[in-house]
Amino acid sequence: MTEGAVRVRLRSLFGIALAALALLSLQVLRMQVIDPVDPPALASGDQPRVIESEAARGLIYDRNGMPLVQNVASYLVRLVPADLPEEPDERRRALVAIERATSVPVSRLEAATRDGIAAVDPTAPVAVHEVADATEAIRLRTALSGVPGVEVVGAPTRVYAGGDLLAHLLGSVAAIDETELVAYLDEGYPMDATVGRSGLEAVYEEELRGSPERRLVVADPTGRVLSELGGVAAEPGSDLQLSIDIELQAVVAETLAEGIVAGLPAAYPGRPAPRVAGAAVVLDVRSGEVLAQVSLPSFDANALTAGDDAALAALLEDPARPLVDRTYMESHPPGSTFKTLVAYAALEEGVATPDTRITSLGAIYVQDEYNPEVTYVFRDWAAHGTTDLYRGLAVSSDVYFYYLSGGYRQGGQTVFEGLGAERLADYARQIGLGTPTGLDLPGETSGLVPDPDWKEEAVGDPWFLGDTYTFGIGQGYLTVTPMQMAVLVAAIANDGEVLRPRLVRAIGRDGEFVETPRVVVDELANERDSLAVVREAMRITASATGTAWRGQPAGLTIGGKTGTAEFGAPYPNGNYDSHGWYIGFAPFDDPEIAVAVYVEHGIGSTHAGPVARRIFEHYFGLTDEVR
Amino acid sequence: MTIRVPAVAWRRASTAGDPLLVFAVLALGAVGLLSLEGAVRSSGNAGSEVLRHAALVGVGLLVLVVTARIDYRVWRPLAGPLYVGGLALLMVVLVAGSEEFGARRWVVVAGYSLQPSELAKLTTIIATAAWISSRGPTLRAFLVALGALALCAGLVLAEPDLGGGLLLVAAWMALMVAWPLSPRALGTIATAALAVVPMAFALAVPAYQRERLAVFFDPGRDPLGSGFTLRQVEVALAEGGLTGRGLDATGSALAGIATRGSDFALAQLGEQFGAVGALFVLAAYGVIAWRGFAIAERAPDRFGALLAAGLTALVVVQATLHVAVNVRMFPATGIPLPLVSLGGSSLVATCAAAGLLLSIATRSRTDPFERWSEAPRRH
Repeated sequence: MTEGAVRVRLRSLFGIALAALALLSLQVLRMQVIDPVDPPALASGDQPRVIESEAARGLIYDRNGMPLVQNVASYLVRLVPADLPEEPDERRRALVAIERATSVPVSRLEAATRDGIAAVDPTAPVAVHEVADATEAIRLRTALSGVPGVEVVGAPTRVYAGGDLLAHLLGSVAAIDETELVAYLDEGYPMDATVGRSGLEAVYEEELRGSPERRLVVADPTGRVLSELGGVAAEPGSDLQLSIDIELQAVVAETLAEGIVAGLPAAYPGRPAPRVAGAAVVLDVRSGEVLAQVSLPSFDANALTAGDDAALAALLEDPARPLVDRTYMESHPPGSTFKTLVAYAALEEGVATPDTRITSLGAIYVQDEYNPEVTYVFRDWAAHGTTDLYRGLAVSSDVYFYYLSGGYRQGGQTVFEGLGAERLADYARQIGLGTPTGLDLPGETSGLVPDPDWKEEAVGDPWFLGDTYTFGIGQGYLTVTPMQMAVLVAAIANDGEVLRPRLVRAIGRDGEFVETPRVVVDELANERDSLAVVREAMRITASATGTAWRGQPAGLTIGGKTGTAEFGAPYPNGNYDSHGWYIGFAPFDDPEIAVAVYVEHGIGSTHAGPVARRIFEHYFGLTDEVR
Repeated sequence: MTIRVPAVAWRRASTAGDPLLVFAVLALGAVGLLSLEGAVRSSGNAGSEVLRHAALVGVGLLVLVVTARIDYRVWRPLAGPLYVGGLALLMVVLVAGSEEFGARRWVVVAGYSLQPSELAKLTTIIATAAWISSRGPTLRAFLVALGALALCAGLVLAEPDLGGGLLLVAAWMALMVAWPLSPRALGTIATAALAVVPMAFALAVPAYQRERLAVFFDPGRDPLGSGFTLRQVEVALAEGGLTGRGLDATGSALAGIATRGSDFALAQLGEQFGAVGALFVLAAYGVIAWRGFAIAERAPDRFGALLAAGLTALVVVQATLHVAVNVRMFPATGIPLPLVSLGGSSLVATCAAAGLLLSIATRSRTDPFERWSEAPRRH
């Protein structure tokens, strides 16, 4: 290669550069002088801008078409900082006019034009005053007409029906939180948008919102639209039809409240006051639809949306934590209701048959594996004598289920081969415990299904036989939510389908609804038809001779099971506080609904049972108490 | 008979380097400041924004003076480490960079956000020039140079910064032309590039970029989003006419477009100063191209020649792409106008490139018969 060749190359590169720049110069001349686009005639101060208005938010109905939320008209006075006069005197005059009409002080108006959104986008409207009354809004609109930089617009607010009956489920809407602003803006929300913040309002935000109308217009400083450049029409939000039956929901709430009060222990010096709390769920065992879902204490559904900070603070500070939905956000040991699953697992695994007979003398004794001097005692709640599996469940014999879960060894001999913790944990997980049910509400907890690996890791101790025993009677580390227990009962009742519970059964608009799909999360093997045995055992349990008799209404055959799980520190007399549970399904022959009742303080049979009975009575029309 | 000037005296005599190049750089910096002052005059914190940019121009000039004074040949042995450092910075961005407008291009250091891709483009050009200056255009040498490009361009594209990647590839191609690769080899590369582009488009181009491409071909597609920006750019140029509507930004067609001072700097200039102003700016880049390639021709060694060609290409291609986007001849990608746009990293990097050019100019051959010290062996 010679130097000359390089020179040629360098000169070619310069030539290319020059040609490109010349071409661009021609294009600049074309676009600026020879053939400029026809700019829209913009007088000084006229601005092209995007005007957005949110579509009407979708409504929510119960399964029978009862409206549960309304959009109620209210009005906002908004400033558009970019449209305010720039000349100081005129600007002052405009702000004073606004102050006179709305009694919002000029200092606050000034701040609104400088801070927050206004600093980024001066054409974005800033709300400065809220008006609930239409007449007042019309008066303001008249008073402010001709004042540049201010507008009075309609801004519907959400009003929820049912007081505190549906507060947890429906949720709330509120202004976008600053920390999430960017994410919402990416999705095309305006900065002053109102979005679903909790409950169904949050989960179904996309469906409920629809898409806003967007118009690209040229407007003068008073906000008068001079010309439209283009736009996209609004698409109203979809309505939700819930699977909830509002009447049943009311009955459940009322009867649950009675059950809770009945189960409350007397105040005891030096212990925290008992919490007036509980939860109940009614599921359709065929579809997984949630017919009623109540958590107490509740709160006024409109409290969160109204933006009343004092009310919100009170809710947050309340020691009973009313904002927590106890049907799915919190988990507790299920007590003896869990024995239904232990029975199923033992039957499937061949650990037991319906005829397996075990004797309870009120306790079993286990020698320490390393030190024969030490003997542990595992108590039964009574000495039940010898029972088969049906009676074992019916009287809720703890010893019976100690055997099924942990087996029994005596004098170095295995007397009875149990399931073992791992197998039991597998069965518990398959029926949906230890994972969220997938309910269409935010913040669901998974509860906990313990096993030796978990204990090693989380507690740091090895798993003992005693852990298997307490696991087998639904105590110890195992925790579940009422919603999970309802799914469990439904799976027993529908012969093995673990369903995903759903609150929204259909989504649509103008009366045309599309049903949400029924989802089978898992299917139990049930190879030995063990579920039929468990159902029969639950029938006997709910019959007059079983512990769950208080759940069965006159004139209806059901399957049921109680649970009483001790918690906290013992009283001086050795007793504990206890959670009360009741699970059941009905009718026995062709199950339609599953019920799970949880009271934070109480006995399963005494306090949770009657709640379940009232629910069955109402659902099957067995009383005249229908309101 | 020529009289050989003693080396020391010669250096002192020509510290001016290339006055025309210096003039073009200063003119562009001044135009950028003036344009910014007009655009922000009526906003609340006009003073601080102008001051900030002025300070950056000051830093840029300081960098220019320093790089011009340092003998460019010191960079040659440092080219490898510089290149690796540039790559490392790009990786830092990918891992820990801050995201703006959907891309990870910035690292925040002490409150300033830096754009390492600007530095990495420079170091890649320096390294490629150093590598090929001592080698003939063999296949092996070419493949190494290609690998160096691919690594850096890949990281820039991953941010994703399509415009930055394109720039680097174009400047690198200029180096290949100047090497000089044979016409046949250049043809092969061009053909291969044409084959790779559709694949790269499918794999590497992010959704927003595709949307921009789509909007480029059909501006009515999204009249409220990116199409809106392009439309306003056309209106701004039309409003500017021959002599411009003046500095005052009140009623500007670009009001509310966040990137008007960076990605759409030329449209803003065109609106403020008219076609006269826009053509003046284009002419300034013409001067840079002219002086840059002339410096390459007169460089005392092959490294200097290739470096000058690569740096000139980098600046001129960047300007060309920016203007092409602004006059609707190229899909919108965020490329700043060198020396004019807001954005300190690009400004300082371009000043460093100009400083290097001046350093080469200062040491250029006065003796037309003097041979390059490292004439390549024939192949």
